[in-house]
Amino acid sequence: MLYHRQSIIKWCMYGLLLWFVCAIQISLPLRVSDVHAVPIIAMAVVAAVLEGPRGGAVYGFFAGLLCDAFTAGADGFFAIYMLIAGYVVGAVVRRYFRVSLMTALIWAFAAHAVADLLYFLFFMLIPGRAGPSALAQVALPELLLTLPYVPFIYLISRGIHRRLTEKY
Amino acid sequence: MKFLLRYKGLLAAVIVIILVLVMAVASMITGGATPVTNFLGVIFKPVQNFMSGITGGIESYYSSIYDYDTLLAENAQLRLRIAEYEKASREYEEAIEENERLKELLEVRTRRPELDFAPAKIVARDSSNWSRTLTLDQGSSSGITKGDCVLSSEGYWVGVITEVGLNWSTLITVVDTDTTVAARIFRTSVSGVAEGSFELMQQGRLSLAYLPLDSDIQNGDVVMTTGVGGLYPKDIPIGEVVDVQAEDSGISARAVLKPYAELDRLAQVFVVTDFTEG
Repeated sequence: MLYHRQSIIKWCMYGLLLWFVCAIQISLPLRVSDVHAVPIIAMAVVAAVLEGPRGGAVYGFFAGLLCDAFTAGADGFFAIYMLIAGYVVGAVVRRYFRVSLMTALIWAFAAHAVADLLYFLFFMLIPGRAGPSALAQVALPELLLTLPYVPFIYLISRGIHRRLTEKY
Repeated sequence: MKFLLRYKGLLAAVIVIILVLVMAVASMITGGATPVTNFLGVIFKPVQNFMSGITGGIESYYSSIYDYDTLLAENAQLRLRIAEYEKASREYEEAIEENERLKELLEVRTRRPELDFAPAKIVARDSSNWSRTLTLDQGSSSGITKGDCVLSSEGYWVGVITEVGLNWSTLITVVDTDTTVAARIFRTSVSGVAEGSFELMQQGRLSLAYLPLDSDIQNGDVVMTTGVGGLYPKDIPIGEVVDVQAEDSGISARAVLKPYAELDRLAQVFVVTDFTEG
């Protein structure tokens, strides 16, 4: 009973944090040459690193839905991608990595880079909306602007995780 | 002497009466305090003040106990009144805002009587870096359909509706890569296609493509919609020329446009739900 209550509170806290990160992404983006950070993917990756594959996948799915809601024409791309990414990151980290800030940084970078690459391929390059230079123009600065958010997201998430998981 | 000692009480009383009478007469004549009353006042005033302070404090304490309920009720009443004033103030601000919106709508309607508008507020902006879209708070319930064009309150081109829900809609802005509008340069009537490109989108610009190489284009030229094909109304200002370049193919030129609509500052837009071709 205590475990369930702790667990519900924990996921509610993660949900609030996701909402907060989303609000930051929308309202207070630090812009460099009209490109801003996109920390939602990093948030999903951090949750996967801390909570493992199942939690990571579910959290990733909802984070992806939020991304889709604020990206015109994404049509569920982010929900599916982040569900898979959450599962994969959670499973791989649990098996081969130690849970740490460095792990979160590496996987946030990787997951974000793959997301940008796939989005660019399917939504920009193949429909002829942008050439390969768009990757350097958008994806790279976006990644560099997003990574500084990861330590903050990781530390807050770890605090939630420790307080509401390890006590039990 | 014996007499004095015998009637010393009476004597003292007489002296006191005389003194009082003298003081009273002196006070009447001078109209102020006598030296004696002054002396007494200096001595007794602090004592008086002290006593008065104590009694006043006790009095106010007791009266505050007795008035506590009254004060509580009064406090509650005042809080209620403040809440009412705050509500009224909010309503007042909303009314001002609504008034501004309606005024803008009226101005746009007066300027372009051939257009039917649905006013809408911008509720979200694209959070990705790959496109430039806006989400509005009005949808099909307000008569908005896919393909409707959207203008700013000044009547400038903002974009085109691409997705419509019951109470929301999404539009691609004029600088988005999906934008394609038939347009012309107002001064020379040279026609081209106003379209977004990824490189220009990052700078908040778009281009007017497929212009004849020898066309007369100058920086500052105004670009407007042509209305060709009847998709969009004609003569809606899109932006002004800030640069002219030859196309990569070398057979035509393109002008770089700075849109008139300030996309980052927009809060209110007008969706053209219908129009008559003039």
